[in-house]
Amino acid sequence: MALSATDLKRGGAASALLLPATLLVVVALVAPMLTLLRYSFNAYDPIMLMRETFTLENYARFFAEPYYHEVILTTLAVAFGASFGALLLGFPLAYFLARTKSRYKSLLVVLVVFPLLVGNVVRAAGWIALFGSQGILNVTLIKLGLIESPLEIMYTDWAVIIGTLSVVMPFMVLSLQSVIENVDFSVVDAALNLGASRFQAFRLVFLPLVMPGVTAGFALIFILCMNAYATPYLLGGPGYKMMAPALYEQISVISNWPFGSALAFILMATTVLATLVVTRVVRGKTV
Amino acid sequence: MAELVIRNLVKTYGDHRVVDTINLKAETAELVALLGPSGCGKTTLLRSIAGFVPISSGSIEIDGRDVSKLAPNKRNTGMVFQNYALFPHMSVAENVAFGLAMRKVPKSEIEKRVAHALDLVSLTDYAERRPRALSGGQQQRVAVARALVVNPDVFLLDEPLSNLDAKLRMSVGMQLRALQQKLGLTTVFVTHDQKEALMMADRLVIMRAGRVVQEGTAEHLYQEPATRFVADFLGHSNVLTGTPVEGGFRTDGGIKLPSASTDGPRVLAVRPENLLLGGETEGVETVLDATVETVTYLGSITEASLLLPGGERVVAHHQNRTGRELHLAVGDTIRVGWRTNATQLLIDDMSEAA
Ligand SMILES: Nc1ncnc2c1ncn2[C@@H]1O[C@H](COP(=O)(O)OP(=O)(O)OP(=O)(O)O)[C@@H](O)[C@H]1O
Ligand SMILES: [Mg+2]
Repeated sequence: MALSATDLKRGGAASALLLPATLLVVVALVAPMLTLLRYSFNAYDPIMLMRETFTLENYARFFAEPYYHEVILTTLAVAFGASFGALLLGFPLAYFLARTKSRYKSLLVVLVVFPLLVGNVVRAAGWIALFGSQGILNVTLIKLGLIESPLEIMYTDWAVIIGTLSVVMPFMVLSLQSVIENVDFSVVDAALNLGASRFQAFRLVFLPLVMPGVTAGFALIFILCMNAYATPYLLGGPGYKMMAPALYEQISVISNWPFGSALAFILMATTVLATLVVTRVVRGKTV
Repeated sequence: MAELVIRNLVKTYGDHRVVDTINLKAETAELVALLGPSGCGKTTLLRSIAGFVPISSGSIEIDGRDVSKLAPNKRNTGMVFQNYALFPHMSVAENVAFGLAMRKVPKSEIEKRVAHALDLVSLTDYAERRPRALSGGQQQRVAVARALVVNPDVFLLDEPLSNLDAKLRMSVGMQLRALQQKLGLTTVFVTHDQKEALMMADRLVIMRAGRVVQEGTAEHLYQEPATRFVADFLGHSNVLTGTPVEGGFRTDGGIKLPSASTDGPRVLAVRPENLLLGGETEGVETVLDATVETVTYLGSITEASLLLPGGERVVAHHQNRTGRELHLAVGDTIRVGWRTNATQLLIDDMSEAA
């Protein structure tokens, strides 16, 4: 394809339009990342805090300490658990929202988005009030004589998984809904007309059509979960082992910027890798 | 192949009777066209035959078996959707093979039948392509092959030509008709284009607001429309409103015309080709002096719009045979006339609805 003069001119105009966004990305994302990347090769010094050098020590520490293995595994488990849970629970809801002809549809969509209006810190605080060992639920159950000592609901893996799941649920539902709304359902009718059962039509026609969009939505939510900070901190307790709280602790409590930066890059690399693996697996299955 | 019989079919959405007590029959190998204005319930009727629309009451029989409670996948109908609804993630061959695979036909036979079906619609060379990489006409043929390959009892088509450009429509329509006749398919065809219906159908069913207004062959409907709606829907008809009087009909403009007598609200209808002009009016029952308002020369015919003394406007078509050309100018006064047997007193089913 040859580019004509007008194409080039138009290309120039298009680049000009891209400039503000590009600048923003460079200033807000690339520059800080490069800085952190550089920090991650520096050394921690108890007095100077950070000493310029070039060492792989921070990365080595992560791989050497079993504690951090547990942190990354917990992070992966929580992120997968919460994203899969949100997918399983969100899919039927998104399907219903996409297909309903009810005039209350926009109201329903607002209800789905509503949790986003309550920040997750506020929400987590509410949960503590409700489910904590001194919370309303336990107090009531003890008073009723149904249990003797409070149930351990807060500060468990399940509390973190369910909490994270509920935070990402609106995003999951909205992204699945838009994917499903884009499907031309006459192809499902065509499958039924050709003798497919509802299940076959779903599996052989509908699923392959929504799978790319579902995978993209899942990846987005998975990334959000991998980087969750507030929910694990509040619902898992201060000592809960996940990457985002751990690296925040390094940077702002201990002021170990080099190790915190290394953790940040390990988290990022793991997220990218896991996302790629998941999308690959799904694609391999459908194509 | 089988016979399709629909009895007293009703489909309501809320209080709206979208399909209202329809009785319809398609004989084995017959092509019935459902024709009617937009929103009259054609698609709903077709989709209820296929099983996508749960009906409110009535019955649908295919080959004597009541299928109205069966799921779509148990009815053995072959449907061509208006947008074709091809599976975008499958090749042409896979699309066509889908129905056979669902019927658990052995692999080797699937291959044979797919090849045969693609051959029928001349798409053998496109078997491995994705639907997206085909033209509209080719996609339509894939949809036809996919529906036919399973040997459906009833073949259902929802405006299968409407997404094709005007030139293609004619030839694709003819091919479809030839295929339907060759395979002896019992077919229901939905369209709102009367040309398509006239070109393809054995029998036309004219629908309006969920009901059948009239059915019959194209000739029958054109020559003996039952109501003003049918006369107006199929071709053009000049309609003079008025009241039947002793021995004839008096138009609202005050002209008394001889006609067969009836009572009740009627309109007098005359087709444009039955209006005679100038010398042709010699000896016919009705002759009036009209003023020429517009003249359009269309080659084989000249179309003239005329103002009658009573204030009504009519359109006349004059056949331009050599030696009989008509030279009309706007503002001319010309004699216009018609034979009484070329007029019809029709039930006026348009004014009440309006
Ligand atoms: N699911 C539905 N809910 C409510 N009303 C409906 C539904 N489907 C169709 N209708 C109504 O039923 C009527 C008939 O619709 P239908 O699609 O059968 O018309 P049609 O004759 O095929 O028109 P067209 O020529 O425009 O395709 C319309 O008034 C439509 O609004
Ligand atoms: Mg329709």
